[in-house]
Amino acid sequence: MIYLDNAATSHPKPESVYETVDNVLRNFSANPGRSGHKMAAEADRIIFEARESIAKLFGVEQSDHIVFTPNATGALNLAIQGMLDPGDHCITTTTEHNSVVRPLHFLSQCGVGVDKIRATPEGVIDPERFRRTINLRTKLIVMTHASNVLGTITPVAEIIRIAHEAGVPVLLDAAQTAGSVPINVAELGVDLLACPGHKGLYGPQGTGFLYIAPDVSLKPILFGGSGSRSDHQDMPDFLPDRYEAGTLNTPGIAGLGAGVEFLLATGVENIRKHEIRLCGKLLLGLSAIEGVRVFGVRDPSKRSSVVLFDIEGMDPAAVGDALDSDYEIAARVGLHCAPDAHKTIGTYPTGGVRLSPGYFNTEDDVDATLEAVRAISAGCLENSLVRRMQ
Amino acid sequence: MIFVFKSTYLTFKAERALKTAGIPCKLVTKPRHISSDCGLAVSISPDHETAVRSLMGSFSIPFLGVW
Repeated sequence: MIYLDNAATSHPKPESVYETVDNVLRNFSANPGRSGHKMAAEADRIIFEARESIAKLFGVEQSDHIVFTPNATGALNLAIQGMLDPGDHCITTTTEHNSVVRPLHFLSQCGVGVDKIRATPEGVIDPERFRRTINLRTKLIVMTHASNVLGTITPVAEIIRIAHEAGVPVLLDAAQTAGSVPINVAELGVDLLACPGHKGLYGPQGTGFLYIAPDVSLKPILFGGSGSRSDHQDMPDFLPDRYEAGTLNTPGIAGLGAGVEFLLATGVENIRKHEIRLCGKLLLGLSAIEGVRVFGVRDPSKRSSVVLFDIEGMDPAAVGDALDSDYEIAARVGLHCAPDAHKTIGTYPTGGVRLSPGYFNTEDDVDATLEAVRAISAGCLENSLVRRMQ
Repeated sequence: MIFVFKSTYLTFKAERALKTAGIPCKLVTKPRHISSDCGLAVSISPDHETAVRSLMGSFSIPFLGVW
């Protein structure tokens, strides 16, 4: 199987991730923060070390500002719902995933104003449009670091500068970039950073986190036991306990820690270079195939490792099925949980075929995929000609 | 002698700082008469109290109290 669906979740994981999850699940799966026995203390230590590793990777000074969540969606919901109240205004873009679209849509029905900055059909965003859209009620800007449909990287540094000039905090959705594009929160000045643990950070599914800058205050959206201040009915007023109600996913977070350690040892820059090379090869190869339409900017250094295409006259679902059944290639088809993005590029409601190579893919994988798409496209053209002649 | 912190996070931050500084310590369950928390506290020899207080200050690790 050639796995090209890393934008959905990465596969395979580094060997150390499998080993760590197995070891922790077998030997240290006590409840962290709840008990004083040795196994619980070791579970606490595992969580602490994972937090520290994540902080190191993202340039976070105090690791208690890393709050664990079940996924990036959980982190985005905490930031969005924790930040916005009725009467507030929020700015986002037309390239967002439903993990941003849906919470904002829900809040818009509760009195929160939402404006969407329209991207070009290549997914490019003009930062100046944020400046023109900010008003006195604007409480938050939410944007993806890279579109999960097109891969186009958002000019976040410039948008953050514009937002901060107006005193507006920025929430960055790094679902497609965490671990594969270097991010330093201190240098970037981002206020809130939402990351999945199971994509570019190589952790297991069911992991993610939100980075909360020291001067940002959020309402908790999940309430329950934290192991601390147990005699208070309010959630604790300190991080990370304020936002981590309920038992944490200790084996998953341990695996996430191992994934992050792999990234620290390998270097995100090296992963980025490899993925740009594979992505560039895919873009060039697909563009040269008759009947294939490739979307987004052509420069692979301006996109995350995502390539969207379709084949003229063929349902993307049929292309995905053919890749899977006939060539053992895993791709993702459809709307990719991002209908706004597909509307922006003109592929709604059919969607497209998304290929997302990861660090463990090779140039041979890309060659085999191009050969498969070439054959599928040729077969489609041939069938089309036969139909016209009948 | 035990140092009590308000969160598990700070307890482990303190443990790491003590280990790095070579000060022996042990994690123990927080005594019930001190805290309503379910977690841990850091036990040290009274001989090291001054050094630990100084270390917590230099690493900006606040503690709730010493018993």
